[in-house]
This record gives sequence, structure tokens and C-alpha cells, in this order.
Amino acid sequence: MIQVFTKPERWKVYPKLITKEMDKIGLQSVGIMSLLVLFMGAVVAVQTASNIESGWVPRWTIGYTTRQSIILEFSSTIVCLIITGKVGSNIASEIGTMRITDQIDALDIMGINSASYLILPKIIAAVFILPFLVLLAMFVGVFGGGAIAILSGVVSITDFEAGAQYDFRVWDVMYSLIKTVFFAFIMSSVSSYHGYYTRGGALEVGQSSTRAVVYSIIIIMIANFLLTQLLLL
Amino acid sequence: MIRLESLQKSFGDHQVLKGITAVFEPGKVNFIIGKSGEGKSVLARCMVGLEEVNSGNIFYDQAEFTKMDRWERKHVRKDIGMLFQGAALFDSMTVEENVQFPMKMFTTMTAKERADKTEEILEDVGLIGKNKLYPSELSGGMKKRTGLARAIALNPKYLFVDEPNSGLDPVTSLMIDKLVREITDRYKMTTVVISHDMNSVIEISDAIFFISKGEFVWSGDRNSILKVNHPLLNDFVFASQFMKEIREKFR
Repeated sequence: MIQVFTKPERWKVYPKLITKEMDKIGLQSVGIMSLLVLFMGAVVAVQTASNIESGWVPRWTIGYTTRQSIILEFSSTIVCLIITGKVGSNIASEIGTMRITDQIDALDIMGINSASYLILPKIIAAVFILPFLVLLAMFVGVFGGGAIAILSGVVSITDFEAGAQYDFRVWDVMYSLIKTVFFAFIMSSVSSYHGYYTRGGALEVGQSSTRAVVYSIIIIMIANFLLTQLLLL
Repeated sequence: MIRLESLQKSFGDHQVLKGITAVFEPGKVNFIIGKSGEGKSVLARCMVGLEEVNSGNIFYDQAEFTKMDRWERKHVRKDIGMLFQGAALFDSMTVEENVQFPMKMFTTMTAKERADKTEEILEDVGLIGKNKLYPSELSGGMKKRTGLARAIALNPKYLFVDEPNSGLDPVTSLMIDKLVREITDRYKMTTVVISHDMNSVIEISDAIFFISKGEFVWSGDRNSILKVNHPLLNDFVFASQFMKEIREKFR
């Protein structure tokens, strides 16, 4: 890990590498992330509606609950878990394959800090791009989910809009984005670590890839609890 | 010149290198031969710094490589080129990008200069017109030639070649051998080839080092290797019927 953050051979090549990683980690995940978070929003809205039988609880609670659930938890934690499944395994298998085919040794022999060259752009890209992805997830989750709930007749547009705007705090968004930065770092560094230390052949690359996802998810969930305690209490 | 002094390397209780001492002369193709599992690849990895030796010294000319830290080694490493057994080309880069990679990382050459140099090297290795192909689109021989082109991109003083002919047909093997020979002569490099291919040894070697159980038990040249009476070496060199017949004719 220390090697990753030591001075690289040539900073000039890094912007291109980081841009490429941002495309791979972020932009190429927009489609799947939007689809999943859209239905997540819709499900939260429908489930909330189905649980509000009492006349004492106003219907705008559906909009409020959907917004809070999406902003506080689903947009950051669930989106990062989805990205970990998709990107984390990709990072581990990409670096792992480079390891078993001597490409990392080739970098080392040239005198290039292979850990920094391969891992640092991925960490920087993930930490930079994932918060934007999470902001998009918040938007798609709340409004897309709400739209589906409204179209399916679960809640009226007026009620949903009122709930979605009720007691809105910018801090909730900030909290979610702060968590995302930590999750992005965990996902990219843990996955890279497992890929970088792969030994053996194709079978071991697969195992590294699985381990990368499993460990990333466990650490993200622990970090989620700790950060929530730290930031919300 | 590369000089090895009493190199020892162990993995746990298993001692792989047991006091290797040798001198590899510049402008010569030096072969390290031996059976699989005798320590050839570990020795090569130690020599280029991919593994740390337990004791002993490695000198690149006057520079004591084993005593250097990571940053000091970088300067020596820029003078080292290596062709790996599987070529180790970067999958995400084209032939041209693979060759230009060391130039981009370590020189201030302009794009035009890099392109010109790349054309020159690709011509040397017979890969003109293949610039835009990716490693997955190359044959085994072309991959090796691209690997060799990348290894010599910065005009290194020392060239390491690990099993250059593995997986190649005899004609392509010969082509790679001749390429290694030509490049060594042209750039006056100290070339170290790790191999167990006797055809290559007879074809292009200047000096031969035979390793057995982690020790150099014989060294000489391609003429003496066919005459020498050394039980371990003879078992290795004349393992095939074809080589046995050559020995008979040679006698």
C-alpha cells in the first residue's frame, strides 16, 4: 500500500490512466446502476404505501420515506455494493491476469513502480467518480421510483412531491457522499490488493476475484456501520 | 558485463541457489542451461531483482546491484531489457504502444521521435505493418518479436531472454535465435538466455553455463559442450536420440 502512494515515475501519464479508469469504473456502470436504483426507489415507495394502512399516517410519508431511504442508504451503500460486484471483480481479475502473465514483472524490471502505476489511477478514479454516480443514483432513485409509484397509482403526485420535499437536509446528502468516498477507496484498494498478490494460474485469478468482492463487501458494511455512528450520532 | 558472486537463494528450507559465481561478458550471448526445476528461472529473477538473494553479490559493470535500494536500482533497470517466456505484452496496448511504453515512461522523446524509433525497431524484428495489432491478434512468434522489440526500445546494455523458443515451431525458433544474436552483436549487449533448447545453444551461444541443483557445475562454449565428458551435462545435452547420433558423428 505504501508503494501505491510513493512518487510515480511519470505524473504525465497518469491523467490519461485516471480518465480511462473513470470511464471503466463510473461511466460504464451508469446503465446498470440507474436501472437497479430506479426499481429500488419504486419498491421502497410501494412497500411504504402497502404498510401505511392507518388513516393517521399521511400519504406524503411515502415520498418522505422513499427520499430518506434512497439518500441515506440505498444510493451510497447499495450502489457501492453493486459497483463492487461489477468493478471490484473486474479490477482483481485484470491485475491478477497481469500478474500471472508476467506483465507486472515486466513493469518492475523496467524500473516502474507497478503498484503505483496499476493501482493508484484506479483508487483516484473510484474516489472521484463514485460520488457523482451516487448523486445520480439519488436523483434516479427518488424521482424515477416516485414516477413509477405515481404511475402505478400507489400515491398521488402531490403527496409524493410534498413528502419528497419535507424536512430536506443537505447534510443527509453530504453524509451519503462522505460514505461513498470511503467505500470507493475500500472497493478499489481491496480489489487491487487481491489482484496484485495473485499467484498461480487462471483458477487463482478467479479465486482472487471472488475474494476481492467478498472482502470488499464485508469491509464496506463494517465501515458503513462505523461511519453512520460517527456521522449521524 | 554482469558478475555474480556466490549467490544463494532459499525458499523456506529449500535452497534453490547454492553459491552461483559467474561472469557474463558484454557482446556475447551467454546461455544458462539446465533441466527444469534446477534453479535457472530463480537465478534469472534474482539477477533482475524480482527476487532478493539471501547472500552473494550481483554486479552490473561496477554497480553492486544487490546493495542498492529500490530507487538506486531504477537507474540500473533502465539498462536492462527482458524478453519473458510468454512475452508478457500489455494486453490493452497495440504492438506500437507496447514498444513505445518504455520510451514514454523514461524519455522525453516527442511523439514523432517515438514513432520513428518504433518503426526502426519493428523493422529490426521484422514486424513492419503490424503496429496497430493487439497481442491477442499476434502469433506466438510475433509476440516474442514484439517482446524483444519492447525489451530493446531503450537500447539496454543487458538483455535477458527467458526460454525464447518455448511453444514455437523450429523455423520460428531459429528466427528468434538469430534475432537475439543480431541484436546482441549490433548493440554490444550482455545477453543472458535461459533455455533448455540445445538447438539454440548450438546455434547462437558464445558462453554456456550448466546449472544443476542450484550450482553451475560446468561452463564452456558450444564446441566444448559436445566433447566434454561430464556425466550430468552429457545426460542433459545428449538426452535425445538425435543428439546421441550427433555425438557419435562428432567423435
